[in-house]
Amino acid sequence: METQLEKVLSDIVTQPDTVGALLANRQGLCLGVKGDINPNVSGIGMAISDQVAGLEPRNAVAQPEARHPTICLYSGNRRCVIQRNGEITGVIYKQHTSAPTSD
Amino acid sequence: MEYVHSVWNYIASVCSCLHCAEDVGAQNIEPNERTHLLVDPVNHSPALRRSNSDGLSNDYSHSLPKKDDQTALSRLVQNTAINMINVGAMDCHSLEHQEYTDRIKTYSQRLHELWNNVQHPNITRKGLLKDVPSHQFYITKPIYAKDTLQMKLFIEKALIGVNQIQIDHKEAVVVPFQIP
Amino acid sequence: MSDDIKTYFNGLLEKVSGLHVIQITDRDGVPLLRVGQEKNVDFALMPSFIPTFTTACDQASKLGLGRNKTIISMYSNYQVVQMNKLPLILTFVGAENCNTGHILALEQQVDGYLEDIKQAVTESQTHA
Repeated sequence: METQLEKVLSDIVTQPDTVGALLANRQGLCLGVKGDINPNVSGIGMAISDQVAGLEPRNAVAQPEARHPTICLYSGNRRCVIQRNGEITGVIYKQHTSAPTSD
Repeated sequence: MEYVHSVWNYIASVCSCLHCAEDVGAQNIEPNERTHLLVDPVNHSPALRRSNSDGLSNDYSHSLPKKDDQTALSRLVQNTAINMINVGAMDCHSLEHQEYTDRIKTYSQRLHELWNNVQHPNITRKGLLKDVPSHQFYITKPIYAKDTLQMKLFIEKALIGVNQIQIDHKEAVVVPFQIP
Repeated sequence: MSDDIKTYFNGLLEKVSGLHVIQITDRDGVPLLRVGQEKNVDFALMPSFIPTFTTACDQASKLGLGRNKTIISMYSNYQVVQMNKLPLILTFVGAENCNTGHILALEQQVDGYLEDIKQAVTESQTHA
């Protein structure tokens, strides 16, 4: 049933620096979660992405790609990456183990 | 009467192994749908009404030999009735208008008293970046290309994964109830 | 003090876009606190709506999955999220496309505030 989704989540958390990943549906309810991340973040993550998308409402018409901004939140030694793509919202927690090379 | 006893024995065996011990404990600790609200003795709270098992146990009380047995049995019947899922009994109770307005008055009065006396500890306004010691540090942070790339791939794969979600049922979806 | 609590709940209302009303009642639907602009959502605040939730909650707790905590009801124009905080019932009424996950995430935040309000409803308060 949701094996494919489970696999995607498992793959993500094995990537370097990644500590947790979560997926929310259109209602902000958690579809799947892996790693060190609270399922409650699904609703808040989606709310953040909605708020940020509202910063540039005109973009949505001009370039539909920009309707889904990628948001990066920094705190302590972790960062949180959020992106919404229509129906689903993804949240990834990452950790600065070593100083990431800016590429 | 023999039939009634056998029914009670059956209920007793089911009830004692499944519910009674757990229920007695649970009701004492946390408030549930049946705990008393106000001390008011004439409380018409509909949720307080027990189900019709009270009437049942009273009707058959004369057939029971000992007082202890009787109370134990009626408690069993009552607990069984409580633990049984009974959608038919979900008739809509509503409070008397008088009690409704009375309670609104009582509550607002009490809340007023409470809020005047109690100093609430939780009122600490948290502002954006106020809890971050060196926000300048974070402002200069770049956004890593590999983060956005990872996210892009994650969302793409996840969309495929979500679209593949479907229910593969192994048994019949509609099950007929066995009503004779 | 009561203004603080009202301000707090009004703040919550603003945080979740599409949320119309937050209401705290006792188990039988008697309101203790209500914030929000009334947008024809009276159906969910009627005295009979909340006791029905209480009963449904009670029955749902018997399904063998533990105590029922939250019931989300989706209607064509509204969604109603009700939380079992007995002796209190917390009711959120929002638009159909409102962020349900965000409403659910509010649960932990409001717990501290509910403790005070609970005292007004319970028996022990009058003895104290």
